[in-house]
Amino acid sequence: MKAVPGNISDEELLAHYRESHKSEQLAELYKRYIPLVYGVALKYFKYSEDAQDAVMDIFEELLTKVQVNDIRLFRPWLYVCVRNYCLMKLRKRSLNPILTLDENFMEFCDDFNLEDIREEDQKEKVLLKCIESLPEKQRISIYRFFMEDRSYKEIEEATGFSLKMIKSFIQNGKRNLKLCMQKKGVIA
Amino acid sequence: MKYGEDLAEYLRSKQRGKAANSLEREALSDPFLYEALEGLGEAKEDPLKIIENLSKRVEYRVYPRKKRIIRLSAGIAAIFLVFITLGLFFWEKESREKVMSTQYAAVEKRDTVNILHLARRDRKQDLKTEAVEDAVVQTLSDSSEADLPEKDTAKPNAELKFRKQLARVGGVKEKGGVRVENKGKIGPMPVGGIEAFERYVQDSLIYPEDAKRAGLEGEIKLSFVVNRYGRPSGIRVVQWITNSCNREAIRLLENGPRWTYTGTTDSTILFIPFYFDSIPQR
Repeated sequence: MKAVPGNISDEELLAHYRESHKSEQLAELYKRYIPLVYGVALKYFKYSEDAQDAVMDIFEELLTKVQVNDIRLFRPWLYVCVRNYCLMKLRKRSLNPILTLDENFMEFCDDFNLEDIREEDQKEKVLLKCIESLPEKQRISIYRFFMEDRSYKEIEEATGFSLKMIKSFIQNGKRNLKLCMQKKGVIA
Repeated sequence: MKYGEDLAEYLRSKQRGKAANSLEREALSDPFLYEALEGLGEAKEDPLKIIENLSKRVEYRVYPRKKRIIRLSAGIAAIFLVFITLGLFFWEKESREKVMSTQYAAVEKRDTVNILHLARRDRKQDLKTEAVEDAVVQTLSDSSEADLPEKDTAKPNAELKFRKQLARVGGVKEKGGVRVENKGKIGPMPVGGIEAFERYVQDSLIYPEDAKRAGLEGEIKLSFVVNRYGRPSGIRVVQWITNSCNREAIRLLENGPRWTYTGTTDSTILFIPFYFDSIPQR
């Protein structure tokens, strides 16, 4: 088995595969993402066997798709592939695919980053004030998650809130903090 | 975290601790990671083992495929050869038996009798003198039971000179039935009649297992001389199927009814059929 240097980038590995058509190289790339692919598949299919099948099926698809498509960044492109596969499979079973992104709409592409804000003393002071003004449960969740570095599970155990609720509180809390900070003119 | 390496740690720590929190925070801006954590967090079976297994499966899918194919083909080829060899062996054995089943007569080797050579019926080989013939007949009739060899392999068979002109006398059944043939004039017949004799055969015949299993059928042709006690003597198998069938035919003849004694020294011919559909239902 040829040793592949661990620090070769995804895109380089991809380019090698497209040139050589040696599926071993695509396998090396895919192996890096198996935990993520499996995790997402598990979320959609619930059952381990289905998720495992998905991981293998998606790899099969990649072997050809990668040759055909122009891919700039592999990771987001792969994510799209995985989601499409899962949604289509579920649709075939005529189950309503669970789109949690619709349920509790997650804002991923937001530039409101609490870590960055905390680096500036002045901003951090305002942030803490805003946190105090949050509704009780949101305040607790935000504080524990961002200030005390507790994981979801730990917060669940400490507060009794369900994981779903905690995520929702954090989500909404963050949005409220952003609004608060914007109002105070600290951020754009 | 670019790949899933930290996921292992996340799961091992049971999703607790600062590192876990750090990963979860990262997931807030990474939907791929976010959904993966959702799925893995609720996993019932240990995901780490499964992920490792999946990794192997992907490798297996692409890696020394050629080597695997070669090894697999070699294995299949070897098994194939074994089967072919066995097949040939059995086929050869069967065809040998079929060849034997036609026109060979069996004479058992005795210390006092010379082995008569293998001869086909159409080769009109003048084998021996009358004297030897008598000696053979005598010797064979001395043996109380037809003591045929136990081995199942083909034995040297001999055919004594046979008088061909056989006139059918009485008791002729349609082909496949028990029938008797005597040369010329009225010859020995089973006491009680041929029909009774045939019924006796049908009732008593025990189809040998090996012949049944091998699907062998046919007629056993026995040649013998009826002595003054009305018993068949000098029983010879002229046409045979298997050793077991031969023995069965001889057994039937010996245990059967007496024959009418005519004083002739000519041989009487008896056909005993071995067909599957004539096996008596017991």
